[in-house]
Amino acid sequence: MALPASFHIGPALGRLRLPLAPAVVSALAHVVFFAIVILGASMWTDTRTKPVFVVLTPSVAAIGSPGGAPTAPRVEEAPVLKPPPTELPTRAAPRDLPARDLPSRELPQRDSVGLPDRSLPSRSPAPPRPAEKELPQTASTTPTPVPQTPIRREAAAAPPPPPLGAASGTATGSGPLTLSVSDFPYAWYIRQIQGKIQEKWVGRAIPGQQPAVVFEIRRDGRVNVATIDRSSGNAYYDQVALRAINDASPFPPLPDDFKKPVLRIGLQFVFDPTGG
Amino acid sequence: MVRRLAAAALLFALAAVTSLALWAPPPAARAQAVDVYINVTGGDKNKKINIAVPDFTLIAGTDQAVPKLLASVIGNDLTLSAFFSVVAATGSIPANNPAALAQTWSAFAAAGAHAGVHGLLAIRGDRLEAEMRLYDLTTPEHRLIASRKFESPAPQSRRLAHKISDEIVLQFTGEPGVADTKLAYVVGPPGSKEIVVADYDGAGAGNVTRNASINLSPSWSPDARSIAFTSFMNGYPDLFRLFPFERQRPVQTLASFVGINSSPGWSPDGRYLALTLSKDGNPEIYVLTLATGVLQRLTRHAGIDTEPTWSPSGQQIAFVSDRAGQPRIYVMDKDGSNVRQLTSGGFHTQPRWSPKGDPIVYTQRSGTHDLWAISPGGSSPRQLTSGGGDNQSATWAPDGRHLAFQSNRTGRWQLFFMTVEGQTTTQVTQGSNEATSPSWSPRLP
Repeated sequence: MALPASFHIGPALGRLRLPLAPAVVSALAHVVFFAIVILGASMWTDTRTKPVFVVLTPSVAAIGSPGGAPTAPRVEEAPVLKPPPTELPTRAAPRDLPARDLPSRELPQRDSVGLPDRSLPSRSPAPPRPAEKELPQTASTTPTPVPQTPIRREAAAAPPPPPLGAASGTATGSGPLTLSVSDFPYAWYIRQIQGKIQEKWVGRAIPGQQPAVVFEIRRDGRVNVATIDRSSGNAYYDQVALRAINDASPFPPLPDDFKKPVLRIGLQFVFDPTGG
Repeated sequence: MVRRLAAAALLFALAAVTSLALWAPPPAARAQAVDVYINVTGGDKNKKINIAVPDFTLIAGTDQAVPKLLASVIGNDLTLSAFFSVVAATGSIPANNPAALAQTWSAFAAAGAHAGVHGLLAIRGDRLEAEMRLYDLTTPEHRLIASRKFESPAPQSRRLAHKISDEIVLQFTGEPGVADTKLAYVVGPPGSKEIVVADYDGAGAGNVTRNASINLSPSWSPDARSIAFTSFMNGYPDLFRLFPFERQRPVQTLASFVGINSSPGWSPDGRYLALTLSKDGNPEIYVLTLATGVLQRLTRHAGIDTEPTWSPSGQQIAFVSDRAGQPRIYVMDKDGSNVRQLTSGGFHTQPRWSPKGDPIVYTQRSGTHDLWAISPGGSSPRQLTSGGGDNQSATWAPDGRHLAFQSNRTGRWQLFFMTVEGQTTTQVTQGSNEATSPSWSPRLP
């Protein structure tokens, strides 16, 4: 079929009086705009492709850190504490309470309870009014306590809490819990999901190749999708692994400081000859 | 001609843009990046998290008792949750003193704590404003896990503590705890039996019936706003519903047929109530549609059919029947079809279907009464309680992990808790009156 010498683009468009220059400018502008949008989007997704590796050898060792080797007191060190998140945390108080209990009042959110940033001076308490002085004045009436010795540890007096695992780690992070890249430095979070999956994984005593699974945790802790990343070669083992993740969910909500909408996890199941 | 060319150029440009957009790789193909890699092997189960809960830091107000109360109630809640082991602590952390906070956490970490709760409390008039900051103590940075704010009227400080506890459990397990719940149960002073509602830990018990009659088998509705129960207040065993949080709302009559009206079992959506009626001669199970009052008969058998309990899907009902001679647990579809026998070889009553779907807990009599669990598929039953007198009349917490039940191991009936794994048992009620027939509320709205 030969192309006609000139485009016939229909009477309707043909009758249009299109100003040439603006049309071309507009077309080019569209091309540039969409190119930027598309390239920008793909560059943005590219940043997500930088994986974070967390190599965890068996969690029994990883979880035992605090009790393992007491650290030397680090008193003078400036603490690496993060200030509390700046955005207002969501209130967990449910709406619409039974009448006899908390009445369901949606009070305006006040940020007064939250301690201000460390830089702010501490609030000086109002002196107790005469009417409030029913109790004998004891040494601790000033609501702002003195920093010295506020806490007495009595852990030894209570029955010692059961250790969470072999105390092979150290509190300085040099134990078997190794964080190669710390884009996801939330050790407790990893331990919790690991523990929950472990509890539900009935395949731990199945010898043979174990599958690797990829799944996503949403901000509220629910599992988005779980897929087999590397099959064990045995469909049943693969299904057992997927079911473990499903049964273990929901997981804890994602850490406040971790800002992505989902946490994507690669998970390798490892055969444990002692497991039951 | 020029115009046509321009129009063609315009169309071409748009087509180019469109195809460029189509050629762009789909986002899904690129989203394969993984944030974190984990290995999972076998490991010890039921490892508890050691958590430190120092007294709350009072930043406004003068009542020094409330910060201590909050810490002690939260500590007890976390212990009862069976997820945590609470590291003993006294005193509070000074406000606005990061160095002291770091020092405190280091000391707790050295004592074995894996997590720490820093609570802040402001008492403003009749309001309590609290902030809970949860720290991970297993790494030297003492990273902040979460920070949440709460408010409550001043008299409800215990409930404030329960809400904070439930949030802490949520942060570590993905599901909120069950501390902000209630127990309804029957208290039997001589001559009458009244229904009492208390916090799940037994605190704040108060009567919700005062008719000096016999009131039995309370059962919380799924919205935690009402309790169905059987009462002889009008002389016959009729079925009623009371609204414990609405003082002015009168008791509603649900069923007052000739004979027994008993064993209320709520459907999970709260729209239906399964119940036992003997108006046709012998006890049969019916389903009452609450909105319309329509009654549907489910069982037709000469034996006793009673104690219906719904599956969490609302599709099936388990019940007790002695159609095989001794009472056993049966399961049927919600319309009464497809009846099958679940337990065999024993004397089985009081089925309670887990809100998580598995298992069904029931009472087995063999000498004494004990709680057993069986999966709805009918796999091998598992004994939950043993020794210590009779253990019966179980009720599930909304998390499907905890059970409350009545036991006479102390000499008179009292209420106890246990986890379904059964490691530890805790006594809930004390006192000279007997406490029986517990019903654990859903999480309060």
